[in-house]
Amino acid sequence: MIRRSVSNLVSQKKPAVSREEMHGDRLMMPFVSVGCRKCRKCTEVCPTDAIEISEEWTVDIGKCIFCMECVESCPSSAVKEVPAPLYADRRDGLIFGVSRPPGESEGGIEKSKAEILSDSIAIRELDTGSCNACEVEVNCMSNPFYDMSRFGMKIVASPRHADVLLVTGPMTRNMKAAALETFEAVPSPKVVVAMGTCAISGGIFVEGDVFGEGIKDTLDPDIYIPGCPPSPGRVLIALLKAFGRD
Amino acid sequence: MIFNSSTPCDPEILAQYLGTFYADGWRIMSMFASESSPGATLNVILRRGSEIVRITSEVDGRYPAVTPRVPSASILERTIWEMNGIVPEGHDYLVPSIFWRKGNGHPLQKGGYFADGESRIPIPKNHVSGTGVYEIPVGPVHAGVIEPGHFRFSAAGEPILRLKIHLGYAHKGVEKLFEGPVKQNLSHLAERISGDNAVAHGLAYAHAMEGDTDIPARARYLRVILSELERIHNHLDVIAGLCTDSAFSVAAAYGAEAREELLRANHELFGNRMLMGSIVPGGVKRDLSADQIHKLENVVMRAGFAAMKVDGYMRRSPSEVDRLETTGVLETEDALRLGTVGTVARASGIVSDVRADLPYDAYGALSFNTVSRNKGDVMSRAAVRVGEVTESVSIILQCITDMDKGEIRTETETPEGFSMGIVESPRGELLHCADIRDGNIWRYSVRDPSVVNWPALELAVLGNIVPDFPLINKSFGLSYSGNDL
Repeated sequence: MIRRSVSNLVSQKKPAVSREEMHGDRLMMPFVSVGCRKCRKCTEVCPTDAIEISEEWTVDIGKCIFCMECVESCPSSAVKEVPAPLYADRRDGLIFGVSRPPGESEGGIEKSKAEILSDSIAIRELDTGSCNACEVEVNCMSNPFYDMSRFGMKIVASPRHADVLLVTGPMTRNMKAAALETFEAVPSPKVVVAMGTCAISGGIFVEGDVFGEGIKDTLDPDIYIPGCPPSPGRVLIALLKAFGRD
Repeated sequence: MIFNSSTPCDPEILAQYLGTFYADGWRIMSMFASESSPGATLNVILRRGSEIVRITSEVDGRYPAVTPRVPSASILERTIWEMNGIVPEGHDYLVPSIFWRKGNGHPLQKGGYFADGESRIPIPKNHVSGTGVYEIPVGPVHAGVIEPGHFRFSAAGEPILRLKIHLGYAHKGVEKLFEGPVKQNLSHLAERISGDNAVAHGLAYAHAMEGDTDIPARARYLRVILSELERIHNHLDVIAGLCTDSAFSVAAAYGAEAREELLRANHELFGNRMLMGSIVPGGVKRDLSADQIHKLENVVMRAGFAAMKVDGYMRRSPSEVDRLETTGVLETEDALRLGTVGTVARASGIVSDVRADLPYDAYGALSFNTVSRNKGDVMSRAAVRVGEVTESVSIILQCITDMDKGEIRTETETPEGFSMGIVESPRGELLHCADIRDGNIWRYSVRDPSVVNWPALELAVLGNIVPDFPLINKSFGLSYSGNDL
């Protein structure tokens, strides 16, 4: 009796989430469309200097850690939470303002590369000194909910077996040489993905013992996936879209 | 917690002094240097049960090492030597611990570190010789999705003769980033010291920064709920990881599923899967509505049952039990000698838990057991984690019952002087120390439980076969980022 009620509590059905549900997995970012009085309160509270106010209010979600301190501190409630795009194929594609509001992600991985790599994507995760939150999420990509293998994606043990280098972390100085060697070991054509705020811009650690601002000064990312950390569903959908498979 | 009282000690007799404490059953929690002019102040924090003592010693560039008398000081003295340039004379293994580079100055010196002409210090070989002995270097980039670290095994055939762990690849200079005006709220930085232990680090930072401010009752209960949610998801990860590493896929899938359900609930209830951004000095950021509390109750019960279910699968499978039992034994004597903390210590028979010994927030008003085992093998560590999940579920349910409506945040004033935050993170006793002078953080020291537990891993693997290393490593469940800072 007890055993039956316990087993009913732990789900019996296959939990895998559909593509539609993963598309619905939203990441909220701060944004101002109207009403900014340029009091600069938001720039003061931002822990990563992601907000700039000159001609207009702009936010760089490559630097944002999505803490929403700006939303809470805005005296005129002009800073609002809006859905963030999945990815960008250029670094400056993550900077938004009134003249460039956030929308659907466009572009992706070069057509020639995406065609050669085809429908089977082998991923090597490379941690360049992250806080481990991104690793937790990458591990979750293969749990029964996200089950990445149903999309033809898998995590491989060696960079020599990989097509995609999924890079997390702010590129610490101690990790730079190893990261470059790992990059060299991946056969061409290779795709580099910067996952999470640290890998994109150095994030909260940019003033610390790290090399440059994110991994772009060491490796050349093909796409950038914002989030701190980005949720597993968003990373999967971003990869599918960037490969032109969604 | 403000902790201004300290016992000064002459550096020449520091080793003897700490030796007498060690003989009396005290354990060094942390040891770090805080620069002053001239020289520097060594801070040693000792704990025995619920008693804490701070010993300070003014040193000038060198002092006789403590390690020969107190073995657990070894890793802490290596870090002081490397980061502050203070030489512990007579230390028997003076090898870099996290920085591994040589330039001008030292990273934690106030004068600063200059990278010009910098060279990397090569990682030492293991120096084990004999017929058929070979060395396996592993990392920093590993086969799985884990953080970077370098391991050197000396093996003869299958059994491991020696393991040396060299970390530091995730070194981001976090302690230095904390230095600055106390007014700025750095809880986001604290949470990212180790992202999977965000609540524990955020809470330790809050405790160090809010001094002895009275925190509203509801916030104290919410802090406990957050801490225990984090403990459950970390423990479920390790339990599921043990099943994955021993190729027991069914149980691993159930464990991973339970953890994902919890992470999703975290997102729904607190706005972040890792519970980041929940704790601030002075209280917590989000309150829970009655509906959310109902949801929380449901979720933690399911997580508790899932842990028991996975545990049942593991125990009913003879091949799994065979793999986990007597693997990676850490003897009680070694666990004590190396000053291990947390689940690792409790699996080796050391009953110690900050929540029970030095209750913080609402823990004093709650009843729970400290789970421990005696054998010190992988199975014991798994059993401690399963037991702690059950205790955590009970703690959260008690909080839900006892919690009254009210404020969740209050104004705080950061005190001058020395303050500490001690919490029980999912990995064990976590300590944040802040030396605050003239409204500025002069020195901020973080001692993650991983720092003291890594050396114990070097001992626990001896005599085990190389393929069992991932299993033993997972059962310890240590942080690289929290260690490297």
